Amino acid sequence: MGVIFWTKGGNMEELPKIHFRDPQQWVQFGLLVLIALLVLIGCIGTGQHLADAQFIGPNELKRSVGQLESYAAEAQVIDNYSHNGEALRSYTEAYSSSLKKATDSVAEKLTDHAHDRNLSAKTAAVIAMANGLSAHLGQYIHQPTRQLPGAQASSHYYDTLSSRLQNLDESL
Amino acid sequence: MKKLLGIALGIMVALGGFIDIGDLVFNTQAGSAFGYQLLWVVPIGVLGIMVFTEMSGRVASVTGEPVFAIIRRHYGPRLGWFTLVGSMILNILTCAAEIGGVALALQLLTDLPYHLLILMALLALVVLVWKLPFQGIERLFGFMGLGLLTLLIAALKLHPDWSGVGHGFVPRLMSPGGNQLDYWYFAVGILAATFMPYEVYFYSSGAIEEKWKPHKDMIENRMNTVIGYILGGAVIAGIIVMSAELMRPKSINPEFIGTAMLGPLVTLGKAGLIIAILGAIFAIGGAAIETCFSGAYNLSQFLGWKWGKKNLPLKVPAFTISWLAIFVLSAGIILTGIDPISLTEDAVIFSVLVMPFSYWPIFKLARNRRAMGEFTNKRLANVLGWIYLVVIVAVSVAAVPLQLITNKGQL
Repeated sequence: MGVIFWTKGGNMEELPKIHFRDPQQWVQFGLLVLIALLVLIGCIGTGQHLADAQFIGPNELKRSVGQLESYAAEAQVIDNYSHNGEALRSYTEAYSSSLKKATDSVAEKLTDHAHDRNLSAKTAAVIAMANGLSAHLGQYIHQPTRQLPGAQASSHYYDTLSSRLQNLDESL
Repeated sequence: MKKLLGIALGIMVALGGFIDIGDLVFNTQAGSAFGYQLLWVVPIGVLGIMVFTEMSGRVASVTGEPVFAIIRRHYGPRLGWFTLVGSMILNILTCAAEIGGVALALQLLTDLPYHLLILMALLALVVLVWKLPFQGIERLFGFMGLGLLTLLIAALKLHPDWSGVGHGFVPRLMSPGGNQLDYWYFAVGILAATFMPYEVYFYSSGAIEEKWKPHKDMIENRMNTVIGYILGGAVIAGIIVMSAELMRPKSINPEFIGTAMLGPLVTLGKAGLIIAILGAIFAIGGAAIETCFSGAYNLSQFLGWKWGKKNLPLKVPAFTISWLAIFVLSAGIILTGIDPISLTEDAVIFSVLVMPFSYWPIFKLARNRRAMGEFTNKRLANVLGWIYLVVIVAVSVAAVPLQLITNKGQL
């Protein structure tokens, strides 16, 4: 049995018709409802996740320290390749700018949100380290002449920062 | 040479489908978090998408029907509309993310502001799509996207532990030493990205654009899917290995496109970095065109408008307005400041909605002897088709809960 169908670039085309049996359509409908429900639950869950993130507890602080460790490690690689002139200037600036924004956002989150009182000293230390890293990253963006601090000084800075972040991470 | 140029559609679809802006970062994260452990997901996904893409190309060349015409006919108005709306949202969100991704990649090569680069990316995409024929688009974006092979070369130059790599290709249900939910979040995420339905929308419509004929072009169809997806899969595996070697020991949790480019920089220097960034621009640009055109194809095929890039733009006004509108709307979304990388991860919600509804009718029609004649699925295609339909449904059901429970792999 054929059916006139209207595809193929708008041309009329006679093609064999394929029927779906009723039970299959029911299965499809059930699947649709299930997936719609999952999405709905998902939306609610996301809202809750966002609400939970407003308070800085040990887990959130640990996560922030982990982020800073990662940004510092990335900054160190960029720094190595900026000093020996192998990285593109635009790449260094754009990448550093992304890292700086992310670092600032970590510092902002820790500053703005309420936190566990027992963690005040550690939170303040993380904020200070984030601000220091942000300032360091700013040098790659704001000094187009590449008058960066010496390679040795930079390397020492990142090594110290990574070590301090690692110690903090382990203490949380 | 002609045969080589003929596989551009497969390469563009595979690179744009596998390696969009979100996947570049996502796979780098997977390698950093789990080392080689998730490599096994790549060949599983590659084989599955090969099976369904080949089927969609075969069905398109035999029946002249692209995916959304089949969906319209098989589901009827209600489910058809649902699938159309879901796929349109997915295409627009993903296209928005890709335009943002092109701007982010361009920013690595220029000193220009991000918002200006979004507008420049939009303009460049519209002009190229308007001016170039379909084959020109697929060749430019497909072959230039191969610059991403530098990521694979970087992985090889980092001298990976081959025994570990080999073990990584052995599927395992649990991650030794890792968080199990995060492990499955990344495994399901890699599979979900592999099965993004816009790949088959674009591929099957592309087959009709290129006027594939059943007897003449079946080999080209198979070459496209096999070579295209093997290349795409190799790049994904390369990203995971590169990240396992370079990022994991330094505790880097990649969040930026710049991080994914560290591999070529460290191993190949400035030239490697430039080639990788150019590859990313074209692969992500290809994904933007793929998603935008998928939206326009789906709409036109569902509503019965005349469509096709093979026609002059003014001869198919509704189709032309559709792709122009999708590009502009997508650029508008990304100009609001939404992070393109997060947006691709959120768009997965809509991909899981439409994924089973997109693949099932292709499989159904490919098995229909009356419609497909001698090109009906053989036994192997049927067995693989059933297995992968189960995988696709499982991925659809698991993707969103895992995304939420793990807070996008950040447990």
